[in-house]
Amino acid sequence: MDQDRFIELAPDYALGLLEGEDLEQFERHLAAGCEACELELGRMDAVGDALAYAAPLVAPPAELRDRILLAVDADLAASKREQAPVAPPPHVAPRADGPSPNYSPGPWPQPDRAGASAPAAKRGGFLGGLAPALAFAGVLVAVLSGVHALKLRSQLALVRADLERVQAENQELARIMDIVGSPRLRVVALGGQAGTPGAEGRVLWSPEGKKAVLYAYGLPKPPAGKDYQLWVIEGSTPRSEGVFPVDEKGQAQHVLPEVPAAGGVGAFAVTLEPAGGLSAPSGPMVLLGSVTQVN
Amino acid sequence: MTLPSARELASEANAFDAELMQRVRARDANALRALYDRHSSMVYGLGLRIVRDPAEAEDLVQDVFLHLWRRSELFDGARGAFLGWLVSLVRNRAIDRLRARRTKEQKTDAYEVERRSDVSPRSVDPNETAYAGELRMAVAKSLAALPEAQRTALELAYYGGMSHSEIAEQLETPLGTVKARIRQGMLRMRDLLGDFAAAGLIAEPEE
Repeated sequence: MDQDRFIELAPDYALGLLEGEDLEQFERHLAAGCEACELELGRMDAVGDALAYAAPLVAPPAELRDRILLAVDADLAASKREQAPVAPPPHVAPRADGPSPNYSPGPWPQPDRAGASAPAAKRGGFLGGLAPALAFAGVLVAVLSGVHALKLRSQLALVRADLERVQAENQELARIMDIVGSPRLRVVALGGQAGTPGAEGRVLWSPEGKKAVLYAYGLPKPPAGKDYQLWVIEGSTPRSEGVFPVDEKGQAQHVLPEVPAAGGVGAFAVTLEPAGGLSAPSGPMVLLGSVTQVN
Repeated sequence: MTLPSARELASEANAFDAELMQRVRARDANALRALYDRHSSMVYGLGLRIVRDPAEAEDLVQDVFLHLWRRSELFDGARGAFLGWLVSLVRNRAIDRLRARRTKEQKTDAYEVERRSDVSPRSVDPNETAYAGELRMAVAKSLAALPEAQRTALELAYYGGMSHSEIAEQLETPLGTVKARIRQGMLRMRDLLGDFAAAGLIAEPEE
């Protein structure tokens, strides 16, 4: 095949249309270092990419953004957990009555094809990551039996506490996954108020699925002796949905203890209240979002 | 004051995207959020155009952005611009879905060719970078300048993910004619896009 013929194949190659012998020969030719073809292919790739821009821009539904960012948060939580230091623990089995650490991830996140195994295996739960440590601990127990019994006992307590924390986190994660997978999920956007212009939040709420969770971002750390408290405003009466902590990044997630029914909810609001919260709001409002009635 | 050239705009947009990808690699969720806000309308629009099903296009958007998040190491800024990489990722995955569906449905569904109005530069997204906006205009203008037969063949190849022979069948046109139209269409687009294609603005890095 001569040079002209090869250059002619560049447009088809860029579009992924080359097949069989043509494809093989063209790739071999490129691999041999033909600069003219490389240059032409660069232009054809650019044309191909530009064609993508003939498709109209369409904003995806807002819920999709929340769903994706939630999956990202869940990933982060999972990897933080993996990195959490675990002292070489004595052999500990999860408590039989405790919640299963393996949650069902529901309809998402779907592992992507190319990366199916790596992140999935990574997320596969802390037990996998703990296994070598547990094995190591088994050896430790055998070698140090007796002499270090006391020390081990205190380590055991630490590990147990760690395990409980992880189980609690898993439970929380499972709950959140559950909420996101609920039927007819609604998203209520909450905006920052006068004193907190940088804050924002979302309530993911499924009255049908009887689940709701608040996500808040950009909240300043509450002053000593104060807590943030969430309210659901039904008619004109605010009802407490509990106080919640804010992490060092100003983020919070809070599962609503009492899921409001579909009708009658006018708004969700967060106020700053004395630690532990009150039965009616008294402090400044930091987040507010009203519910648009869909049915 | 002179307006920045297409190259300058592209370079600036690309530098910012590359920086965001670096932050994503360092597990910064805000950087992914920024990438989503910058590009999700393009990703969804292109996905929708290819898979032609809103629910599937939404899955695709999720698929693509979680891929950015989880496999950020697969993007290599030294090998090309972010936008070119993203566009290829979206198109490849969308076409995979399209083909899987075709196989499942055991038929080559009649692929509708978009009417002219669908490629007009009417869509303006304030989140889109200045460069992307420029590019969108240039592509719409160039496509509009192609002879209809070339444009149709190109669209079936690019958005329909069809092979030469599938396009020939769909258009009831001889295979050789289809091949020639696609090739001529691509060459014409290259010339019409001028600066946008000559410098390989979105497919290749700055020298």
